[in-house]
Amino acid sequence: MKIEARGLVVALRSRSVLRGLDFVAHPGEVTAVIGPNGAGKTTLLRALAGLVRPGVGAVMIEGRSIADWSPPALARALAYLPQERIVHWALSARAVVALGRLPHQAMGAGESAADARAIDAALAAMDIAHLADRPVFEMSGGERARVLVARALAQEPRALLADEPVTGLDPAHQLALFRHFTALAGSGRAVVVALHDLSLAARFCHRLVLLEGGRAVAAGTPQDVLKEEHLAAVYGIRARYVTIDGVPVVLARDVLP
Amino acid sequence: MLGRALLVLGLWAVFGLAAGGQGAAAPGRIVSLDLCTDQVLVDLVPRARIAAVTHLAADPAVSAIPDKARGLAITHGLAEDVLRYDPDLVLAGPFGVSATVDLLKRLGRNVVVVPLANDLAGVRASVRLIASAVGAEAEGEAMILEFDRRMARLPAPSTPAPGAVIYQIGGSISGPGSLADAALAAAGLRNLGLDYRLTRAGQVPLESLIARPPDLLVLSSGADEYRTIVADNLRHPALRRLREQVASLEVPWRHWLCGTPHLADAIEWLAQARVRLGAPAR
Amino acid sequence: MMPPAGQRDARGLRLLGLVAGAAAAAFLLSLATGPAGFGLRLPGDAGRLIFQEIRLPRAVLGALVGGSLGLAGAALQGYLRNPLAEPSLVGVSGGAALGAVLAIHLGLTSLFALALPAGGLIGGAVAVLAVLALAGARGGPVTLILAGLAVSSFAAALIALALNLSQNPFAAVEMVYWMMGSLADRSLTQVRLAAPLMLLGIALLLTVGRALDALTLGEDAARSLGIDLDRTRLAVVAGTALCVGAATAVTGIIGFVGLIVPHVLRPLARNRPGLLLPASLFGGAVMLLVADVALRLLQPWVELRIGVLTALIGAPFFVWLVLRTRSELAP
Repeated sequence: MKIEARGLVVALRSRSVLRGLDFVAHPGEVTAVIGPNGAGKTTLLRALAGLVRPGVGAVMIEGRSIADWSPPALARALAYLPQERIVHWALSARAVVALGRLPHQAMGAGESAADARAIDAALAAMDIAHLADRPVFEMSGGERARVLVARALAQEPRALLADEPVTGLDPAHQLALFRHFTALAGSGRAVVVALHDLSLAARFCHRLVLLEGGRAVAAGTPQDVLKEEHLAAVYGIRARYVTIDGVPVVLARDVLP
Repeated sequence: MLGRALLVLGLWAVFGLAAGGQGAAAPGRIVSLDLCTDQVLVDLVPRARIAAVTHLAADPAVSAIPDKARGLAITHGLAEDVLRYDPDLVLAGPFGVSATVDLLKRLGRNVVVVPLANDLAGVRASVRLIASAVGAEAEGEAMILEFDRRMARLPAPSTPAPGAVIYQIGGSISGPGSLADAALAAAGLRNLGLDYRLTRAGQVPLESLIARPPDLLVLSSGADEYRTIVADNLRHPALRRLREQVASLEVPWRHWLCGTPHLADAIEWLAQARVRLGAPAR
Repeated sequence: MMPPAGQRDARGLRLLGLVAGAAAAAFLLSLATGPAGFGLRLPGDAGRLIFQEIRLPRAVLGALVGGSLGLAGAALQGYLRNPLAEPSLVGVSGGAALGAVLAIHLGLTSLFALALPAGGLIGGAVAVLAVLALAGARGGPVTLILAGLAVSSFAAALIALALNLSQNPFAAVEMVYWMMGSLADRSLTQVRLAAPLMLLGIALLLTVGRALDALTLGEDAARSLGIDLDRTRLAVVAGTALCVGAATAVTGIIGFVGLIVPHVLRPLARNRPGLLLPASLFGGAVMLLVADVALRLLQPWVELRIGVLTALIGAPFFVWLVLRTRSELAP
């Protein structure tokens, strides 16, 4: 499912956040949205999910304007994972993951066999099947994060928009999650991930989009985007894109004056 | 007769002395701070001697003498308000104005507090007290005489006395020891209030009233007289059905709010209703 | 091992069956209780009159009002994601009482009888909107309670003013009625006035269960799951105003039912806000009906109003709740 945005202008509380941003994410690819704090990563993802309406510009999902999608149809096609890991009530992990099936359930319908399969698959994918009955409030931050990703997976979406999904996760789980994203993309879905960790972005993402000040200043393969001059201009650091043991790493050497 | 005369003389002596030697001059600027004293006062002295009465005296909902009270000056009971009439006598009831009464007494005014009448003897005592305070003893005695004549003309009591209940807003009833209770007794009716009342609070559930209805149901307000929601019980369909089966009588409560000779109106109506009942059910 | 999907739904249905059964039992108990004697069949014409015109309306109102208050409490707690939300605490009951008082004393009820529950409905709606404006869905527990306190205090003051200005000789008695609530000597007239609006409100509130479940994850996630938050907000406001407005207009302010019932049932509903809605509907009916039966059994010794009884249970419960969540309340 192709996700595209052209000339997005979004203002929040009379402050300009996105200033004419172009973006595209292709099915079969993991696209990373990177940039410093305040660059507009979260707002971009929210705009792509249809949660905030742009003042200027359009978001196109599968070639159709997002405004032409009915909310239920959009919810079946696209899963959005917010940055704040909110769970207001002490539900069990399984109950939280089951919420991802809501777009597929008619009003008042219970859980179908298909629902149960999707939930169990999501629990297994995130390695939390053993925590299914544990209340989310009694879990560690990392475990809770995986529960919420599982919720998005249970939606069986054609596209996944994840805002900082790996922050606070153990390295093993970070790797596992990105391997899962790669597999998702491999099965024909579009995966868009906003993240801070440049090395992870370089290693697992097919395409990177570097944001600064509400605009996309670079887009392309990791090598194209993670050039020294880009990192210096946007992040104010002297950094190098290297490969260690075949694994790409962005090495931050110094803060620039 | 002699006993009564002695009582009058005694009261006159006591209050004559207490009035601080005002002696023979009857008060000419009387202010009344109580609805009950208003109603007696208006019938005892000429209007010229009345400086002010309460605003309730002209209210037909609560006063038995609204026409007579019209045109009289009104006081709402504040000391400052009372003083501008420069009264030489202030009549007050026992409740609600104690602060004002204390203040007026401290300022050296002549204040007579008339206690609440809870029975017919109390009615007579109130009239005598007010009559002597205003220097209209003869008129007072005449008033009491007329009251007693009306009481004597009441129909003979039935045996056994039929039972009655005075059912009011919010399910309240009048219990023993109240003026309404004395009026029922004088009319030859037995107040069943205490039998129904399951608590001390004085409210009867409508269910009890229907399960064991009285011989006579007395209501002190019309069903639609008060919009207020606490009067809903008077509009209850079950009460309407009850009234189809049980004799009922409406006696507006302006007739028994005060221990004045106007109570005789209520007693006469109750006695007539009692007679209409014929032989009681129990 | 996880039981299959069918069994999981069955647990929810079992809970609903249990509370619905309890509500039916409480209803029958209420019909059988009264000063004329215990039992469903009372002798004679008087017995029929008592059953039809006094006990039946009282039991029906007890069930509907209790259910409405329980459901409204669960809906408010789910929507505001705040376990302290409750119609009387957030000022909806106060606003509804004010609306009803104005309808009566401005003479509107003499023009058309439905003015009474309509007044309650409008007053309740204004109060809900005021609280949402003051505290909003993003306000924490403290902000919400403060907003509710402001709205209820204001409403109580205006009620006192209205009663004062109406030259009502029973102003004091009426004030007590509104503030402490009463189911006593209500008739089928009140049932006919209030029941349709309460049923409409109940129907509306029962539709937001799905949205409340989704809101567990926050507003953004809920919207991304296809929930229309504007429609949800409208349903919650309108449903609460209908339920609490119509109920309060005929019984006065009865508090704490919407606080206690969802709390007690929440563990049984496994914390799912959607399931808690119908559970609280039946649970609220049980609570109010049982309280009303207790009231009538205690009558020979002490005369209590229903609002006093629910407050005697509810206020200490509220204190306990506040102590328990104190860490979340501290800034």
